[in-house]
Amino acid sequence: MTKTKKKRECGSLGHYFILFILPALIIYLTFSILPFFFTFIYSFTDYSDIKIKDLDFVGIKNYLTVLKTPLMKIAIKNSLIYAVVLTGFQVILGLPLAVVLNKKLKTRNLLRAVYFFPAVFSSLIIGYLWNFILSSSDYGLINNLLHQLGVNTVNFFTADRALYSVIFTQIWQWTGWAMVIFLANLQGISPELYEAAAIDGADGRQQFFRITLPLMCPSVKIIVVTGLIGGMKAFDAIYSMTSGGPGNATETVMTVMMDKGISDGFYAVGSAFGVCFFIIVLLISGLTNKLMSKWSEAIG
Amino acid sequence: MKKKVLSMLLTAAMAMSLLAGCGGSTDTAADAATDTGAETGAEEDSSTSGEKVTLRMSYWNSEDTVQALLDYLAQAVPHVEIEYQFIDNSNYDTIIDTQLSAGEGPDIICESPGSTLRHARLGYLAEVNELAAKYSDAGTSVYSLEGNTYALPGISWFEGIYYNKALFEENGIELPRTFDEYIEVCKKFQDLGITPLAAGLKSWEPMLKNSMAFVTAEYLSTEEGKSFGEKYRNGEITMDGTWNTYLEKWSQMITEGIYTTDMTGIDHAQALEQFATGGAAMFCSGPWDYEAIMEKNPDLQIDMMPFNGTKESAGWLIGGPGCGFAVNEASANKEAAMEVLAAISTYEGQAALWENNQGGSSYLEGASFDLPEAYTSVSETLAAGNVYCPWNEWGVAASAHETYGTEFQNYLLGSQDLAVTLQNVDAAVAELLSK
Repeated sequence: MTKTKKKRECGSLGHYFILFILPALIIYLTFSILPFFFTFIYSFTDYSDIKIKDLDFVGIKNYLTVLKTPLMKIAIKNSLIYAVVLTGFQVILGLPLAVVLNKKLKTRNLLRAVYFFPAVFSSLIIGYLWNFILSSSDYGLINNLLHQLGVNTVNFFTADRALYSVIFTQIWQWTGWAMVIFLANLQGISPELYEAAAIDGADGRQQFFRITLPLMCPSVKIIVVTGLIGGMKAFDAIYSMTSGGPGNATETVMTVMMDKGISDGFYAVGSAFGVCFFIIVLLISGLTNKLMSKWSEAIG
Repeated sequence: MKKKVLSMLLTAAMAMSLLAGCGGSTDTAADAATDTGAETGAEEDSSTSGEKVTLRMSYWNSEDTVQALLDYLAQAVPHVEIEYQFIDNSNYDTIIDTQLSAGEGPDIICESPGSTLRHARLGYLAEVNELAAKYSDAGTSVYSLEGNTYALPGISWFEGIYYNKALFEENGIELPRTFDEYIEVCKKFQDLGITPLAAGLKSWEPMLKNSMAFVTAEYLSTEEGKSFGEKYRNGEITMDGTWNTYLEKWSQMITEGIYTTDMTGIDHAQALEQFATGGAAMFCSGPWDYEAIMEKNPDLQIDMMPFNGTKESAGWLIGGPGCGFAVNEASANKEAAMEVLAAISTYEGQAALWENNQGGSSYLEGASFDLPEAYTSVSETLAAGNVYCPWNEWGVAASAHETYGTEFQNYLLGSQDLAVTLQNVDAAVAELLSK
């Protein structure tokens, strides 16, 4: 018995593919696009926990409230510091780490696993863990060690230090993740380029800056864009470690939005916060993409 | 061929799992139908067929804090089965608000005074006037709106200052009777190299309660200050300009180094640990922490003292009716829910509720319980009825007490002066009242 393969014309399977993407599309529309659409609508109404029906159109009143909220300035500043410092350190530490762990070391698989391990946990768990480590009570791990060395208590959660303490824990958690992305990119660089460079007399430093770094552009772009967006959306680590405090020292856009929009019941103002935040993130993403593209072009 | 067999097997397995899934959902649907049936036609069902009515009850405290009550209700209202739903305090209001706005939600809701008024205004709660008449006004007034009461007060909560009896006795230190004496006691402990007060100032709560207790003793409990809460919620008075003098005096807690900036790096659990293991002489908290303290150090001898003002008195505790039992107006089992509330509004019901909340007191007329030994030093305070929670009087702006605590963290850290601190609280209250 001979099999005859049915010939299909190019593009004739299109309707099957529509069926395949339909479940994901429905979920995406239901849980992302539709809520955003409603958020946008609500931001122009007087929706609150004591007015949930018969909403009135209030124009841009909620947007003016957002801009007038004194905390907004602190929140945007903190979110930007958080996003830029975290992303910067992810690149600065993750890139050399990936280069080192791409070499033929006996322990490289173990080390890769060790550095990546913190990224497996939720930021909430990491936050609670570091909360204990950094505590200024006698039971805080670091302060306990300092006391034994005769050093006075160091409070890692003062108004000046708290934000950087949280950022430090996040660098610790996410550098390994950046390293893995960089490693994947590194392994895609042809070894022949290094061989040719070595023949031409390039040393290790020159090879890194002339070959590795320029060709790492795609992964750096991914880390920078996702890092900045993720950093701007920072909530869980802040929530578990400082809850925005002490005072308002570590308030971010998301914590203010949660407090004002959800906890205090100003749903419409919260929606306006969300839309403003969306625009800010969109601008940052666009700007980053443009800068990174220019870098790619310059290398090319 | 092998591939074909494997793919057929996989397809068969998928089909089976789908069928199993459908089977499961049918069962669930059947269960749900039974539940809905129980909810919609509860009274007929329970009376005719003897079937149990399932009521959902939500609370921000874990089930063990009301276990005795649940056991009692199982006997007192045998045709009702309570499905207890614990929702963490940080998400409680958001979840309940969402459910109620969708016309759903638990049949019996534990409400704070602030959320009761908000939900009552939106028509989510059934009035409980008849049962409320069995309770004292002090308990029901915070749950009342326009002549109707919408929740029944549970056992009161209170917070005072736990102290390590051994540290006081060994060092010959007497219990303070005034605020100035309290500062002196703290200084004595400091001189002895002992931390006077363990405080987790990473949270906004400790300074909120401590400072408000002082203002209560000095001003809110006086004839002049008694109407402050009412005026404040009506927008007729501000904190800035009224509380400044008292809080300037209270600020000795900061200037004398009892509250320090280092404490902003300590959370509540770590402060509790410090006190329980003898690292500090005092710790502000309430009965809910008693078991945790004793678990950490069963040999610790503790008692509780009240907060004091500048004049000698029976002292004050921060507290009041915390959880109020309310009935969802949209509940299909309203009558059964009212039966449960009626069972709670008996001496036996209050005793069962008190069982897991020892130390608090009941607002039910004629229901009083013995005070555990750990609260001997506040017996006079409790007997005088000196338990008060200022923000319970702020109506829909009650949630601004969190802002008050946060602003006091800023004050402690030196980011702002007292006037700005109070102005910020006033602004937050005004914003909430404007809704």
